[in-house]
Amino acid sequence: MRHPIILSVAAASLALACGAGAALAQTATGTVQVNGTVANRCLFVTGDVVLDLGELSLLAGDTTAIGRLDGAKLTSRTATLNGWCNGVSASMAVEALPILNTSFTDAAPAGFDRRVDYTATATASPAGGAVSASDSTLAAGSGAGSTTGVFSSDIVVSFADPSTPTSGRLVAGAYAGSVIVTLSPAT
Amino acid sequence: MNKTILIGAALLGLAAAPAALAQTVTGTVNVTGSVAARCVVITGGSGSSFSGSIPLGELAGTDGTLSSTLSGSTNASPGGSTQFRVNCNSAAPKVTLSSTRLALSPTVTAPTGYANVIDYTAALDANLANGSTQTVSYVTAAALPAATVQSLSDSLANSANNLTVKAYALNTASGALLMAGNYASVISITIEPV
Repeated sequence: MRHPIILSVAAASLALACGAGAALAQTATGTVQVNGTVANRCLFVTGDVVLDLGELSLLAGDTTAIGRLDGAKLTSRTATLNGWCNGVSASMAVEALPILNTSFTDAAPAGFDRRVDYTATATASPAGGAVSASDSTLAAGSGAGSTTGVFSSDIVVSFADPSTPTSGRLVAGAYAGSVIVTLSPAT
Repeated sequence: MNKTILIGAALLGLAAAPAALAQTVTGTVNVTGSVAARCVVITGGSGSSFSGSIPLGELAGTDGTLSSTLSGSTNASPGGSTQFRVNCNSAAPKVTLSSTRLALSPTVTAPTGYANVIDYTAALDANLANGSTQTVSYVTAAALPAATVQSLSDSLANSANNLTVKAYALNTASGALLMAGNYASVISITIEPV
């Protein structure tokens, strides 16, 4: 009788062993997604510059030219802003506003002018090469925008095509104008 | 005579034998069983796998560089975290932890002064049965290091949210502006019932 009992225990153990085999060690694995976003953005590091052109009229030379606009006072100067955009479709546009006599606001007498027109060009320097945008004070509103993409650089504003409405002599007074450079982050 | 007596003794012996046969028989049945080592996902998934996400939101500060909140985040005050519950029945589960870098996706080449990838510390805080918390961490880098493998000093606590996955100490090159777009990273965790 003893042997048959032992045999059946052995069989039971075998059955239990088979059951344990189905419950093998189990490892848990996990995955965590970490996400974030960076919004399209443009920012001027140096966004306001005052460019003092000094005396705008010719003071010497051809007597017929004395008193008229000295264009070199404008074309020889530049103003440097600094800014950046972090989006691949960012763009830059320029709006140039004429330089007007702010202390003599009446209509200029014949032979005189109180307004200076010009073309302003802003040039940024993305890694792929310089990008420029321009505007003339002779046309209202901003000039066409140019795609800069991602960049962080100086933005050099230069001047060209200086003129006055009648090529007359400039009325004495204080003159002021402005160039507005707009950096637009694309959506 | 002698012969007769001997036969009688033999008969006597034969008659007494049934009474002397009473004998106890004992048996032993061994009952055995086993519990396989295992880790089972209770919350955050099912079976042997779990998953979650850590949305960090806007990564850049107002100046375009990495948010100071994220760069200054710590284990105690992480940039983001998520929790799970995994039950393991072993004394010292082994944790394996690794992560990819938080990278702009789809990728765009970053010009000088910009960054399109962010390194950070991924950490798993495990609540243990003895009441303590053990942190397993992994720090991403340009050359990703080998996964961190660490055995816990005690069994996992049999409690809710016994695992917390965190992201903190985000960093880029100093002063780098972050490229616009979506950034993604994956933290991989394995818990073995050792």
